[in-house]
Amino acid sequence: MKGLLAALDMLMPKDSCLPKVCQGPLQRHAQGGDRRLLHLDFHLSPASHDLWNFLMTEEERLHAARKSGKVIVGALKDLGTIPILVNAYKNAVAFYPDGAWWLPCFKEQSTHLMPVADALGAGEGLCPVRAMLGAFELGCHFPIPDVMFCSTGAICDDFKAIAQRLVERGHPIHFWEMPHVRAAQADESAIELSNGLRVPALARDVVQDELRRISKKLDQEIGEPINEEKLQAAIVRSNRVRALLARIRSSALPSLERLICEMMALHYCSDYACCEAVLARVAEEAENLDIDAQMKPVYWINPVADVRAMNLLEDAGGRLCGTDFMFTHALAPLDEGLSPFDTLARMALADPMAGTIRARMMACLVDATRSSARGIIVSRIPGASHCAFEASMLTSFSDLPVLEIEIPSLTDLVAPLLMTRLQGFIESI
Amino acid sequence: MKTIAVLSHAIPDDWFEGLEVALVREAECARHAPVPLRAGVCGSLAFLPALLAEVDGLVLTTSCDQMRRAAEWLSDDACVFLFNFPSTLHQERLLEAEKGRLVKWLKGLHERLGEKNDCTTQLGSGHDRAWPSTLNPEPFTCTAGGCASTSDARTSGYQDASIKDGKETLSIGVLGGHFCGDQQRVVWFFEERGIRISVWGCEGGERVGDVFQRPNTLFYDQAQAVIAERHLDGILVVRTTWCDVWRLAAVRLHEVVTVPVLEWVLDSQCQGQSFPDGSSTTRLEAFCELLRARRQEGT
Repeated sequence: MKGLLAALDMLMPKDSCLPKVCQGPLQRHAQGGDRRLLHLDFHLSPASHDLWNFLMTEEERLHAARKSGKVIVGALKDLGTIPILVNAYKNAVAFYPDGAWWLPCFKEQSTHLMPVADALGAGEGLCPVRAMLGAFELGCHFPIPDVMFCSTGAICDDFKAIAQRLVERGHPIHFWEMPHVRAAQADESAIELSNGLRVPALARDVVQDELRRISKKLDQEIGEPINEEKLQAAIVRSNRVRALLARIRSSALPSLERLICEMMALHYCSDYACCEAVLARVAEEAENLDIDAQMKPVYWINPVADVRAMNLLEDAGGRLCGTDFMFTHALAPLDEGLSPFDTLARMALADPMAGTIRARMMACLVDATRSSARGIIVSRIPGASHCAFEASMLTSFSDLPVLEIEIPSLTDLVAPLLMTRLQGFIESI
Repeated sequence: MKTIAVLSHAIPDDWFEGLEVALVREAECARHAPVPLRAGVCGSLAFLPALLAEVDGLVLTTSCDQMRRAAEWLSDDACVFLFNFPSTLHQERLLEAEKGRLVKWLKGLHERLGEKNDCTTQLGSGHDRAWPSTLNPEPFTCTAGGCASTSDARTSGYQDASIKDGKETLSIGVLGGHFCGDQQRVVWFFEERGIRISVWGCEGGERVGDVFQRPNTLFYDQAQAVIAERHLDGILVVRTTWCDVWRLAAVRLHEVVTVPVLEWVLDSQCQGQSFPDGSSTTRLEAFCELLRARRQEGT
């Protein structure tokens, strides 16, 4: 059952799994500026209430972590690898500044993040992650991390340019090399990744060396030496979250909440223990939901800058049956039998964005077929360099119908057009 | 002798010494018919299919994400090589391995095309990443040393061009990625206004640092050094609409250099007889006037 924010607040759990400071009515977030919440249709359940409260209290939790003496580590761009490493340290918390790309959506453009980014040269030609630049400049949406790491190399040019701009604005970043991922040639020493791709062993060695370099830097910054046992324990903990997400992904949880849950895989929303508790509760409840046979199963590619797009999909008669929100490597189980740095290096290399678009699109098609999708929606991110190639590549070999749409940070103005396209597509599949 | 187009400053000519290949260092967009592109794609890709039809092989690098995607888009693994070029300065192992892979690809290319050339040698090691040695004091000298670069004819024309009143001549540098227009027309445009292009730093020209490196402080240091050494009066930054890296590099150049910087967006559709179009002409003329005014003021 779905409903508005006030209806969800009626279901505020008495036995919330969140710390006391994070509990309370969700409407307080809307009053505090997260106005998008007033325009979303939520899954009405106590678990959903906790999920949203957990998401919306990240800033407060980060400030509390800093007050308690923890080091805030910014993990930029890699979408999930560095946070596992950080999670191995007791006295550190991983934060994902790229997540600021949702601020223009949740704040409904009321925070001037985009105009500030514009003023720094990062205009509309870049993807909405440029909001992160505005957020750093304004310094009022999250505590500035104590140390930051950013993958570079085989990453999108948007982020590469914005990360450099952050450095120029006085935010030092430790860059680490993410090589372009290609299939190994017959005469090359190769390893296999979780996605089945065989890649040169050298690529693994390069990334592994980079991760060791980062861990040394973290040792210094946090003042707490890491060892392989601690890292192994962090990997096991990460697998617990991934197992919960696998349960959620195969359930009938509505699309909006599913998107939020999957995003937790990136950095556990800055609190691993709480994240696990919240997801466990959501998974338990989601598994008891029945799939609405009237809703047509759709596979969705790319994250959306406006979370309301997930509501629009359901309003149009579709439901998510599978997704590639650009971080499938953060969802696949990690190999606990390898050395921890090897495991993390393989995870990083399985990042679908570091390889070819063809490989990613083919993996999406396989996943879509496996999940009985009736069609695939490729959701373009405005200005993102990789998006220009995806739908045309997929269409060239997909036997499932493909719809390409673009989701801006606020869909309100284009919602009628989007709905028409979504309805037309879903009706015809 | 095979003709290989190497469209990245990151790969220097001396890597190919002794390999009996003729290098093409730019797409020569003015000669090639562009193919239509979707929004979001770098305009320089429009010329790659035509270029690929002319040469035996094409080498692109991962230093630009659009080029990384272009290698895939061209769908010709035998004739297109994607060099995994590190964006950080400490990846010598990856760099060396990729050089080895490039040699193997060249060898395969020669064999496939039925010509037995000795490509078993290693690539040259003259790649000084911290301070590349490509700062040539002569403007418009072909950077494909000793090779039959397709830019020869055009560059010789620039050098012979007479510029009136040499003492008063203003000079500028052009920086950017792949240039989607007719280089000769740009030179003429500025010459007509008494401005000499002393540094052509787009792909295929001089290598002025590596804008793609992270962090790319060295690029700005090198740009400033070039401005000082060549006494440049201004910098023109050319980029395509969807080039994110040069878009923000232009902004940074504004901040760090002491001469005027003008950003000029040039796409494949701008190519042709109308170039420079009305909008471009107005911008470029304003830039010229500014440079002249600064000179008169003795700034």
